[in-house]
Amino acid sequence: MADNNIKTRDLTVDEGFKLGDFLKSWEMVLVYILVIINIILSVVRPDLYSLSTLQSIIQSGMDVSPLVLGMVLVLMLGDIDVSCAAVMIFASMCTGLAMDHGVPSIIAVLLGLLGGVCCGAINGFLVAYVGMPAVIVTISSSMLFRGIVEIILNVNSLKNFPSFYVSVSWNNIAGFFPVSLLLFLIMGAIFIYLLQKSRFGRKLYIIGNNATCGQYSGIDVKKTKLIVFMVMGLMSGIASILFVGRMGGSVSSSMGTGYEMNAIATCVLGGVSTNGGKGKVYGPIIATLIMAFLTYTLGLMNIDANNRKIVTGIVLIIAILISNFRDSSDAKKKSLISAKAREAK
Amino acid sequence: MSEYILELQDVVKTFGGVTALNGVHFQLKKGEIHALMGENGAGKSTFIKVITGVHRPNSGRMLLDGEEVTFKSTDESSRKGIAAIYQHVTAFPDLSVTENIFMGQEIKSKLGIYKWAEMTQKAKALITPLSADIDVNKPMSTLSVAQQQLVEIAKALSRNARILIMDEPTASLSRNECEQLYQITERLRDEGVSIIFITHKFEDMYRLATRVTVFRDAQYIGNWDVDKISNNDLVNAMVGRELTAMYPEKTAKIGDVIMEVSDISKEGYFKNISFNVRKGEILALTGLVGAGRTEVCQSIYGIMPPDSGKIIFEGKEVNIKSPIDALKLGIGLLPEDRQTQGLINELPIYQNVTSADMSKFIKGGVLDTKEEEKKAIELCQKIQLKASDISAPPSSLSGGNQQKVVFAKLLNCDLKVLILDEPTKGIDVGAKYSIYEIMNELAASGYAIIMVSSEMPEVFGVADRIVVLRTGRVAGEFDPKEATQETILNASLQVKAGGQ
Ligand SMILES: Nc1ncnc2c1ncn2[C@@H]1O[C@H](COP(=O)(O)OP(=O)(O)OP(=O)(O)O)[C@@H](O)[C@H]1O
Ligand SMILES: [Mg+2]
Repeated sequence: MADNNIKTRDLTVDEGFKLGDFLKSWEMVLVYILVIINIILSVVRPDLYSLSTLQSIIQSGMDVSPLVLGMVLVLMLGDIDVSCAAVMIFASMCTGLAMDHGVPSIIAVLLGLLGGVCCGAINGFLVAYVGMPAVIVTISSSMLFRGIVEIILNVNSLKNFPSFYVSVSWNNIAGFFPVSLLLFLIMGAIFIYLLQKSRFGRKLYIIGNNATCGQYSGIDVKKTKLIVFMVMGLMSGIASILFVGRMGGSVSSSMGTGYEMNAIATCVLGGVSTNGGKGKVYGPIIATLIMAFLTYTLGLMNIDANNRKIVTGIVLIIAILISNFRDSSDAKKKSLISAKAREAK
Repeated sequence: MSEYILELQDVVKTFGGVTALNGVHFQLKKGEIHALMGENGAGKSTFIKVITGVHRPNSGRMLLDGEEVTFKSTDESSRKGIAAIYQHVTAFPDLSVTENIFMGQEIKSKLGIYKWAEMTQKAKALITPLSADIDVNKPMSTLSVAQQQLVEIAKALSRNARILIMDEPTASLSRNECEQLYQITERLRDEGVSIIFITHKFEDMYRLATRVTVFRDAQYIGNWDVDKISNNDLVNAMVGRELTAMYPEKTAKIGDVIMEVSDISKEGYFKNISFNVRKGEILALTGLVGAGRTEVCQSIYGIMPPDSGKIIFEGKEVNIKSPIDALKLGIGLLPEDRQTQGLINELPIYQNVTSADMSKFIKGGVLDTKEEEKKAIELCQKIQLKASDISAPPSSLSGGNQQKVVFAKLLNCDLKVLILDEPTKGIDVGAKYSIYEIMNELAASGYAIIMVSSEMPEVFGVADRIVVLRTGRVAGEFDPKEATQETILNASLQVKAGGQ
């Protein structure tokens, strides 16, 4: 009995899909929330519940979506990036200035993305190699990036952007499927691969849970962190496309404030822990849609912008409370001692 | 009044489908030291947690001074005078030693202001007899595992416990630290404290305990007076079968030198360390805790590269700047502290096992988790891991089985040199034998093994050569066939003895 009594499931047989567990998973809870919001919307304003409304609801929420995806990776490490909105504006400025100087639009777009990646690299270098806390680094760098934009643009705004910016944000494929949603789903699929299927993703889970052990296991913790921040920068660059497009093709230095908070909140709602090492990409994808619907629905219900913020805040707090509660009951099941050790960290 | 200060009857505890305790009994007399022994996963630690109120038993009775009690939390049990030192240090790494000791029972003035000066004084008074060189103002994380263990003991002492429970307190202590702990334990017993002492080391039991209780596979096997049961019978009771030998016969042929460490130094840790290791050889690095053994290993492995000196690997000088370089060359390390350095408690066992080398599970850019699981199961069976599910988190395993997971993680890599820092720490007699067997097998297939160990019998039982370190320097190299435990001990103590 002592030997070889490791009971594992027979790997030749597929484990089988446990419907009960699936229906209770956080991702499904998010789907229920999304459905409920839709029901409320269709009951409160049946006159407005139409294809075109749905399209514009989704379009309105897509500009933050690249930030959400990038943020999932950053949070996975146990870090945070509050500079992503500033990076997004910085990237828009890069593109806009290049266009103003007559650079071909494709190059201008690439320059924007490159600007984003460089900002991310600065953050990543300071966090990973200098060892500064990510919050401090990105609060400061966010002021830095915005400051630069303010100096360069002053009170002017850039109006010269590639024409496809607006169409990506506002057009529908065959008059039906929003282009921006398609873009989001493609990026989402890439991130699902990156985090859940690839070796890179596994490294993020390892580092987020126990960086020391990661180092002992031969993972280049610093390089991995740097890469993640650069990806975040790239995603901020992509966000700038959707953002400028949604703003009708112009940008000024004061735009986009609060986007970083929206991105972080969406991730948390999607089940990603700010302590690192926990969560998946599916949740934040659904949460992005929830946030879009929530904001829009409240708007349709004639709730003014400030009250809308209050409601959104309350919804988020409740969601986080629920997921914390689920965590702690999970952890209790697993082991009390290890939960204590985590607290200690 | 009952004869027993603490008595447990028919305790059952299950975790989901796993039965950790199946109707066990235990009786603790006032003022005795009672050893609790048994294989890894027998349920010892769980039993302790049931006593202190960390876990609620499914059924069973607990009598304290003859009166039935139930504890809903560790607070309640500690108010009743029960203190425990758990197997895994549960300290707060960023807080100071003083803060850790007085956590939850801070000394306050009438206005509720913390009296740090007084607490620091008391902390010093508690720590100094245990270990003179622990600075109570330093954060916990700067201490070695052994020192942290001593702080935990000081913490328990500060609560004036009537019943003190220690879960494998000697697992990471060196010989003379053990001796200090023995003396402290005996002193406490003489002061009337009743003590439960969990250990896998027979030495501890013979030295301290008057009675011993044995658990096996969640069952109560029996309890005996220590002087009335033979060692063989006791081992049988624990393992459930006859163990013919403690150490397997060595079969490996010793080949050429594969790695040579030449004159490496690291400021503040060790100086001018030189030794070599051959293919097929098991080299023991021994000495007192604090002699620099762990640091030498970490240097070779690239965690903290040496300031000067050379490492020659397969005839070429190599520059190992990080574990990545070490693993690439084929050097692996089983770290000293499995909780912080070896395990990711939140990820499934199989992902832990594969974490140090995932490259072989990549198929078309995707990690093949089925393959990972298969490989992990294979390796875990090899080292006799007891787990209910390969996807369970390591935190659900007993201490010894967690150690085996870290071992399996190394076996998953293709290595040439294995550095094992206290490989059998917290592992039971039966499983120890199988770990030695694996070490022999690896050696026979050409591995060179460097084993750090504080246990003399183990060093003599498995090593081909012994290098003794003393305060960061090589104190001598010995052939186990010629040397005696005495000579090794003298070599590791020399400077201290001479200095007095
Ligand atoms: N939190 C938990 N969740 C699930 N199973 C658990 C948990 N804690 C312990 N177990 C299981 O209970 C059994 C007994 O574990 P326990 O830690 O008490 O063993 P032990 O006798 O202390 O072993 P060791 O000598 O290795 O420390 C093991 O099979 C273990 O896997
Ligand atoms: Mg244990």
